[in-house]
Amino acid sequence: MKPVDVKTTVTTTPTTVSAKASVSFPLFGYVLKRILIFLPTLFVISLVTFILIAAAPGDPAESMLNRSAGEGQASDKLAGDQAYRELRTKLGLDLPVFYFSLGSAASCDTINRIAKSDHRETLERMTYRYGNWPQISSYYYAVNDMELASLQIKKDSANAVPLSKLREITALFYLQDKENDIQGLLGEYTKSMGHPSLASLQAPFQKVQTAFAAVKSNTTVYKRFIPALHWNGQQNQYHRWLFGRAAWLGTEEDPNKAKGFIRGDFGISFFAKRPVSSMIWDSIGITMLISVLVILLEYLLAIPLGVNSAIRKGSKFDSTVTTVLFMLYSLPSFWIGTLAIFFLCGGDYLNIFPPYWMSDVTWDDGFLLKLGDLAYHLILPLLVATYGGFAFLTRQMRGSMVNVLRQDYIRTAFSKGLDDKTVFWSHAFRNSLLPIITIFASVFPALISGAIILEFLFTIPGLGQVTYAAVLQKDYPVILTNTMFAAILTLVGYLVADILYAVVDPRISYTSAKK
Amino acid sequence: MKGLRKILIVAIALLAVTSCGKKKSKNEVRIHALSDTDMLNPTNYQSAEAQYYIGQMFQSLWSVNPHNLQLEPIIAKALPEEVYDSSKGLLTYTFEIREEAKWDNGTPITPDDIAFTFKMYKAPVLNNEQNRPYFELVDDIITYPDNARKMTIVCNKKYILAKSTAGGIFVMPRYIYDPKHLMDKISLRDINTKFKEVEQNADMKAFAAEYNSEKFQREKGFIVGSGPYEFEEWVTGQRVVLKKKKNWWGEKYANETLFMAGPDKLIYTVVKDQTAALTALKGEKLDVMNGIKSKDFIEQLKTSDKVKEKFNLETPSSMAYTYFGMNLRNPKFEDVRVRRALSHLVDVEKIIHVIGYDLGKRVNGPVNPYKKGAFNDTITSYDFSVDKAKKLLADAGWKDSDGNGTIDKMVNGQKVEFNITFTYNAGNDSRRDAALIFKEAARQAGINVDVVPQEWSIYIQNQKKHNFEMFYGSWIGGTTPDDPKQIWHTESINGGSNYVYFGNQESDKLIDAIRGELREDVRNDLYRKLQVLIHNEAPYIFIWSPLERIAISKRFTGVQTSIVRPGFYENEFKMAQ
Repeated sequence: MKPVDVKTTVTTTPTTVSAKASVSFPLFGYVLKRILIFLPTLFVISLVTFILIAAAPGDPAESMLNRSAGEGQASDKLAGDQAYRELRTKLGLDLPVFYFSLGSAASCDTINRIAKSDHRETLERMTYRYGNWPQISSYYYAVNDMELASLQIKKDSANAVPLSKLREITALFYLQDKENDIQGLLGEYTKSMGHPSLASLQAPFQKVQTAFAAVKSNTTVYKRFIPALHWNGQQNQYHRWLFGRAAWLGTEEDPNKAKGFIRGDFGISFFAKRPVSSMIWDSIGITMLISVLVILLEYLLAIPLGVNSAIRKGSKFDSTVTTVLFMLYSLPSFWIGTLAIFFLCGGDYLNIFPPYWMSDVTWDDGFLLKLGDLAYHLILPLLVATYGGFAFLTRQMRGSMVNVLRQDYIRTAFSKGLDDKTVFWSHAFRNSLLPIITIFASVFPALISGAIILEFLFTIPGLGQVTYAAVLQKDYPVILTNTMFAAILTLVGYLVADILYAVVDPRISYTSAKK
Repeated sequence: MKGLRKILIVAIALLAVTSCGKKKSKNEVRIHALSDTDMLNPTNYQSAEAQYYIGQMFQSLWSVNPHNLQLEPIIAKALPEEVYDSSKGLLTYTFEIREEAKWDNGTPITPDDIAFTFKMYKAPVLNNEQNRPYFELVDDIITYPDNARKMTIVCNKKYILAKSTAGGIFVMPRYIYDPKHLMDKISLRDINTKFKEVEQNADMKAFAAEYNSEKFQREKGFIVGSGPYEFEEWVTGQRVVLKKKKNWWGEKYANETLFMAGPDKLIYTVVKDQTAALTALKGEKLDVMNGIKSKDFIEQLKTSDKVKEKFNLETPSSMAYTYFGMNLRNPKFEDVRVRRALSHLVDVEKIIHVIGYDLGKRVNGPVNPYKKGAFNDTITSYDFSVDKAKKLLADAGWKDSDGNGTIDKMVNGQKVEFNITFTYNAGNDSRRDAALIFKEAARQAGINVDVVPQEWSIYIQNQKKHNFEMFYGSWIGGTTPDDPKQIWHTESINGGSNYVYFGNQESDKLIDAIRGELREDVRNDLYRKLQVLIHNEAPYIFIWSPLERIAISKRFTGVQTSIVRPGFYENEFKMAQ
C-alpha cells in the first residue's frame, strides 16, 4: 500500500501573495477544462492498454477451450477446430486491432482472420520471405481444404498407415515457410498417396501445389521495404469495444449484440461470461470501503505524528518514531499479513481474527450486527494495508514540516512573540501540506494495485481479486474496464490534488491572472 | 468521549459473539476451495469447480462409482444396451428412465428433457464452446411412442468414450430452462445438420440471450436439477452453499454410492491463500481441505498431535503423473539409446523422497496402476545408474573427444556438445528441485543441464510449438477409459498434445484400435502393448504419481477416500455420534 509515484517538489514561483485563495466560481472553469482534457487522455490510455493486451503472448480463445490441458478426453479435431473458430468470431478476436495498421506493403492485412496463432506466425514469416500476401493466403486456404479432405476420409485398417502419415504431413505445412521444407513436404505427400481410398485427396493436393508454385513465381520481395498503411474500417476490435454492434437508433433485434463501452456496456467477461459491470458492481464496494478507510487512517495518524516529531526534531521521541517508522516501512505487507494470519487467526496460536472472509451476516440481520461483523473482518486487513503507507506519509510530513520550520517567516513569527501552538499549526502546518497533497494524487491507484495482494491474502471478495484473476486468464474485457477505471481514478486524484493546492496555498490560484 | 467508549464496548462484544458463537454441531460440511466457480450453468461452465458443484445438483444418466470405477445407472434404470451397427457405422445406447425419477415440481424426467439437454450441449450461439466438441459424436435421439420412458441415443462412431460421454450429461429440466418453449422447433438433428441456419434462427437467438444471462448462471430458482442438493446461495468469491432437498426422489436408493447425500449442507468455501486456509483448518473453521502442499502436510499437520486429534489425514492415490519430456526431433534425442541413457540418469526414488516427502508413487508409463486390466505391471522402470547411462551414450557415439568434460558427437559434420536446456513453469519450485537432482546426475555422465524457468503461457506455447529440448510436464487422467490419441498419436503432433513427436506406424495402429475397441478385455491387451512400446521408445522419463494430501474432520464418519478427484466423496459423510 505504498504510494509509488511521488513528486515531492511543487514548482510554483511565489510572485504576488494574494490575501485569500479564491476557491469559488473561476475554479469551476478550471475543473471543466481539466475534465475536457481527461477525454483524450483516457482515449490514449485505452488505446495503449488495448494494444498491449493484443500483443501479449497467449490466446484467450485457446485457453478457454483447453480448460485443463490434457484432462479427460481428446476431442474430435474437426469439432474442436470449429468450436475454436466460432469462439474467436464471437469474441471478435478475428478482427484487426485498430482502425488502421502500419506495416510494409507486403504485410498481410487480413491475418487476424486466421484462427490459429502458430499458423499466423508461419504466414507472417512466409509473407516476409515472398512479399505476396494474396498468393500466400490462397495457398493457406488450399492447405486448409486439403486438411479437411484428409480428415473426412474414413480410416480403416487398409488405409490407416498412409492416412495417418498424410494427416501428419498436412499439419506440418502449417509450420513451414521455407521453400525447401515445403518442397520436401510436397514430395513426401506424393509418396504416401498411393492407396486407392485416398483418391479424393488428389484434387486438393494439386491445388496446394499450384498455389505454392504461384507463391514462388510471383515473389515481390521489394514490397517489404515499402511502408504502408492498411485501412481496416470499422470492423476492428477497438471500434467494437468502444461503440459495440447494437443499433444506435430504434430497437436492436438481436439481444446478443453488445452496446460498447461508450454506451455503458463494458462487455461480457470471457471467463465468468457475465457482464463486466455486474462483476465490478459486486466487488467494488468492499474494495472502496477498505481504500477509504486506509486513506483516512493513514492521514489521520500520519499528519499529527509527523508534525510532532518535526517540532521535536532531534529529541528522543523523534528518533524513536523515526526508527520504528523505518522498520515498519521496510516490512513487506504480504509477509506481515501471512504472519498475522498464522499467529492471530486461530491456527496453532491465538484465535482473535478470522483467517478468511467467512462472514455470513447480511444487512438484514441487523445494522449493528453487520457493522460489528465488518469490523471483525476488516481490522486485520486494515492494519496490514495501513502501516506501510502510514510510515511513509509520516516521514514525508515530518520532512516537509522540518523544511518549513527553517524558513525566515517562522523565525519572524516567533520573534513577534506568538506562542508555539499558533506558529506550528497556523503558520507552518498549512505550508507543509503541499508534498502530502501531491502524494494523495497517487494514493488511489496505489490502493487498487495494493488491493490485489491484500485481497488474495485475506480472501476478500473485492476488485483486486477480480483484476488478478482477469490478468491470469487473459480476460480482456475485465482487464480493459478495470484499467480504464484505475485511469479515471488516477486522473480524478490528480485533479483533487490540484484543487487542494489552491485551498492550502494562497500563492496557487487557477483564476486567469488579472493584475 | 462517552459515546465512543460505548461503541467500542459494543464492537468488542460483537467480535466475541461472532468469533466464538458458532458451535460445530450442525450436519454441514465446510470444504475448502482454492478458487471460486465461474458459474453454475450445466452446459456453459468452464471451471473444474463448476463441474464439481453442478454434479451435486444435477444427475447423469449413468456415472462412475468413485470407489470401484465402474459405471452405474442413475437416472437410467439400468446400464444401456450398447449396439454397434457396422453397416451404418452407428453406435446406439438404449435404456429406460427410472420410474421414480422426478423433478422438484413432481413431474417425471422424460426423454424430452434429455433431448433438450443434448441440445444445450450442442446448439450454436450458446456459450458452450468448451463443452461442445465432446458431444460431436451424439448424432440423434430416438423415442418410443409405446414406452414413454424408453429412449435411444445414437452416436456417429464407434468410440470407447461414447458411453461415458453420452451418459455423463447433466440432465436439465426443460420447464425451468425453456419455459417459453423456444427450443421446441429446433431439433437435435437440425443442430447437427443445419448448424449455420440454426445460428440465424430468431428463436435460437432469443433463447440464447436468456440462457447465457446471469440468471441461469447464479440465481436461485434458475439452477435446478434432479440431484440430492439444491442451490441455496453463492456469494461471489466467498462460498457456494448447497442444501439437501426434502422429499427427494432418490432417497429410496440412499444406500447406493451414487445416491448418497449424508450432510444437510455442503459449503464450498473459498480461501485463496494456503497459509490462511491451513490456519482456518487448524482452527476448525474448515472441515475438509485437499491439495495441501506436501511440505505443509508433513511438517505442519502430520507432526501436530492437536491436528491429528481433530482430523484424519488421508493420502489416496491420484490419477496424475509427472514426466520429463524430450524432443524426439532434436538431433540430441533422436537416438533411442540416448533417451534410455537419460532415463537411467534420473534418480526417481530420490526425487520422491527428497522433494515429494515420500508422498508419491513411481510410475512406469502413462496408464494408472488403478486401471487394473489396462495397467501393464510387467514393465520395470529404468533404474538409476550412471554407468549404464554412460555405456548407452558411448554406444550412441557420444564421447568426450576434446577432454573438456562434456561429451560430444559429430552431427551433420558439426561437433555438438551435449548441453540440454531443461524448462519448467516458473514458480513451481519442486519441479526446479527435481530438475536439479537430474542435473547433478547428468553432470556425472558428461552432460550439462541448464534449468530454465518459463512463465506459464510461454511454457505451454513452447510445448505446442515443439520449441524445447527437455521439459517437466504432467498429465491428469480421468476415470473413463484412456484415449491415448491426444498425447501419443502422430496426428496429434500438431493441434494435439503430442509435444515430443512420439509415434510410428505401430503405435498409431495400436491407438486407432484402442479407440474403436468396445470390448474391455481386448482393449486392455492393446493398452498393455502400447505401454511396452512407449517404455522401449522412452519419449518421456516417467517420474511419479503424487498422492493426494487431504485432511478431513473427525466430526464425520463413513469417510472413504477415492482415486477420483478431489480424493474424497462428501456425500458419504455422516455425523460422528
